[in-house]
Amino acid sequence: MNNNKYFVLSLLISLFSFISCNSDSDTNGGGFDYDVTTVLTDWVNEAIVPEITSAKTTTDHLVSAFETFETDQTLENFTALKEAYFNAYLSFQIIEKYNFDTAENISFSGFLNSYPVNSTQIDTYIASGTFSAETLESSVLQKDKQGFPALDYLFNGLGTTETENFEALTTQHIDYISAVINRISSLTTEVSNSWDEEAKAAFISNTSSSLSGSMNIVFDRYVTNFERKIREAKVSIPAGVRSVETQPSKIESLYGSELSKDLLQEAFEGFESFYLGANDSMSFSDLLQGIGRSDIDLKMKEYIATIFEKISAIDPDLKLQVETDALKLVEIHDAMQSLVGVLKTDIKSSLSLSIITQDNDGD
Amino acid sequence: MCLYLPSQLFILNLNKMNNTYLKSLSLFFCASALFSCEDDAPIVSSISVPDTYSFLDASGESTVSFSGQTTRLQQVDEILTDLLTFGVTSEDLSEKFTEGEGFTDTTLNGTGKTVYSKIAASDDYYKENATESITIKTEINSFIEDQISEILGAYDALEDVPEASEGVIGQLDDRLLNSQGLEYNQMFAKSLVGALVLDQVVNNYLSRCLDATYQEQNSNGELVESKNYTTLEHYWDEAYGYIYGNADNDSLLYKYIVKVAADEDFAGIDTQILDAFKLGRAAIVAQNYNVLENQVTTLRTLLSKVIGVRAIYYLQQGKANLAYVSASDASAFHDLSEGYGFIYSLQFTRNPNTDAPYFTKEEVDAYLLNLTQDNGLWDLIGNTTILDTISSEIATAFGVTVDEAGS
Repeated sequence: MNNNKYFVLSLLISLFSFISCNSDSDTNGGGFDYDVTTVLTDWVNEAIVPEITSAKTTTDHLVSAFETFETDQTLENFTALKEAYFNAYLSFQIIEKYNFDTAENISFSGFLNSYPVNSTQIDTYIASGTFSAETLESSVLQKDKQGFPALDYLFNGLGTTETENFEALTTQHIDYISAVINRISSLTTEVSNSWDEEAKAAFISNTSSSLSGSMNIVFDRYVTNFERKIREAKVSIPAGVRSVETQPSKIESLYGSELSKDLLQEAFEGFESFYLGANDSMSFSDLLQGIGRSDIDLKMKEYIATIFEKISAIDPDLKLQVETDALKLVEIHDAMQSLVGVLKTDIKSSLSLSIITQDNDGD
Repeated sequence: MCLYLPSQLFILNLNKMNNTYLKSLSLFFCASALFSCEDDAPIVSSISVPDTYSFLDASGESTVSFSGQTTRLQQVDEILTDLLTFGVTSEDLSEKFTEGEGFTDTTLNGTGKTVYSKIAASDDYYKENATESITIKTEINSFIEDQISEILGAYDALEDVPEASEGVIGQLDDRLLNSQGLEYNQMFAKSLVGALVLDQVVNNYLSRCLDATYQEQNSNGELVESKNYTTLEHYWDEAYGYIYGNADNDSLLYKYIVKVAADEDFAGIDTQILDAFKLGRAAIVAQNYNVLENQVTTLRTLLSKVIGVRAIYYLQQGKANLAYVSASDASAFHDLSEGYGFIYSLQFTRNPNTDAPYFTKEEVDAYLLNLTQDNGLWDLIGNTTILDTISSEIATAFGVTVDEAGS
């Protein structure tokens, strides 16, 4: 009898250990330790919607500058059109990271900013006379024949001076420019209109800690955009980090290359401002401080400062920079890679966030 | 392991229990149970589990043999290389795939081993369903045939392949796509993960290890003629060999066990699988068939789960990458081609509670239709709801979440 007691006791303990193991392994039910609703509200109202609205405004200016130019084709109006184009391109840099919902579904980023542009095919379209505006929407494979990089080619790539670029424009060129600008405008309008009151409310109320929750969606796209669209596309690929040779022809704004650094600078400022939060709104920085992880916040700020410093040290013309001293860009790549480390480990785990999009495993 | 050890110890100790030892055994039992949360909890019993999968006879010779599995896995490797090589002919590949001859690595020839014969060829699922076995073999062979007729035999080199587009065969970002955006080489390789490896392991060799006849022979010490191992030991080793027999260069299931274990949500699954193989083999040596059966259950569960998790992973990665598809980015198509193969492999999984696959062939075919109807993957761009639906159904079946598996 006594022996049996031992036996029953041991069974109970076994059972207990089984149960406790089981609950230990359940690490997925946890939510966030901070006020997600406030964060999401601030993101929508202070960053996402105002910045998309601002991009919409600059795009409207681009449309009207084109209309002015089309009616009155002077060098002066051409210069004004180019200026409007570049302002729209700059404001696009800020919103490219909001690649979710409508923007994701319509491949907004891809249709507006795929480079290098396929200038050969654009020339063919223009020369053939068979081109129609619908061609640009017909397939995702048309991404590299439109958007801002196509305008860069058509505004800066047909000649070597402003006058030559202006004089090279035929009626067919202008028709093509018109189609490209209309498409930039309609896609931007579609994204802008998608943020109606209902969408805002849905975004804010989606406080789930699952991968489809707004916190994780925003974080994932923020990190993915930084890796793919800022680090890789603007820096690492042209600098030759991913290839045997440097690839100066893969820079953004290849034809107006003297403006290429401005785009990098703007995109990274957009990255920083979202991290810090605009107008006292809640941000990743505030969240880290709020949970007592100012150490991570300070590290982030320090890394961001280092990247700005390295960007300030390079030529405004990234093509020239790659051709003369690509290592300066490789240094920016390295600094950006360190920043990715902070995002993907420190911030991800301390704020209980998730990354959805993985690097390709290359097999 | 937590779930497992207490009950195993219960069985082990109960078998030996008598009045004299009851008290001390029970104390030991408590201690074992308390420590069993540790991953490497020692199993102290008459079963002697080695650190590595190494089992020796009385004279110190290894009793482990799985050369046939290694041969087949290496044959697959060479076929996978061929599937991206221009100039390869249908005859060349058919000879390798169906006859096991003609390999550049000549050690793979003349062995009598072929990949083809072991596709959908398990005792449990296909012995009495040759119709389905033939259908599956034909489907998998068609990935090879189509890769050659549509791409590798139709062009001299990658540079000559035109750009792929909606409904048009070609290359995109140097990936070779069929008219639906799918890569045949990925469909082939990932389908074999289930059709060759998983099926042979969970529905064939592990099943044979549950056979009372083989267990009795093992208990009687009856060795295979001119060998130093029993039939039971050998079957277990053959199951092991399909996973680990080409570990340095594996392209099939082992590769994905490692990848799934690298996800923190499934950390340790690789160790759990290896431990179950070691414990099962040690149990055979100790003639403890209760423990052996428990390891079969564990292996069927975990190996099937790897397939389910990886299917969800590729569907979710493909979904995230679809927005980026362009003339220079085909990564979404690559992800979803791998996903196709892992979904295909679901029909070979084994649910220990039902002894049936977690998804039937009909269910698998219905899922895959979403990837192959009309323009296939191209039509999923901007239209990804179905990928979430499929992911979520697979997740439910395996008791995981899309979040855990998807990233």
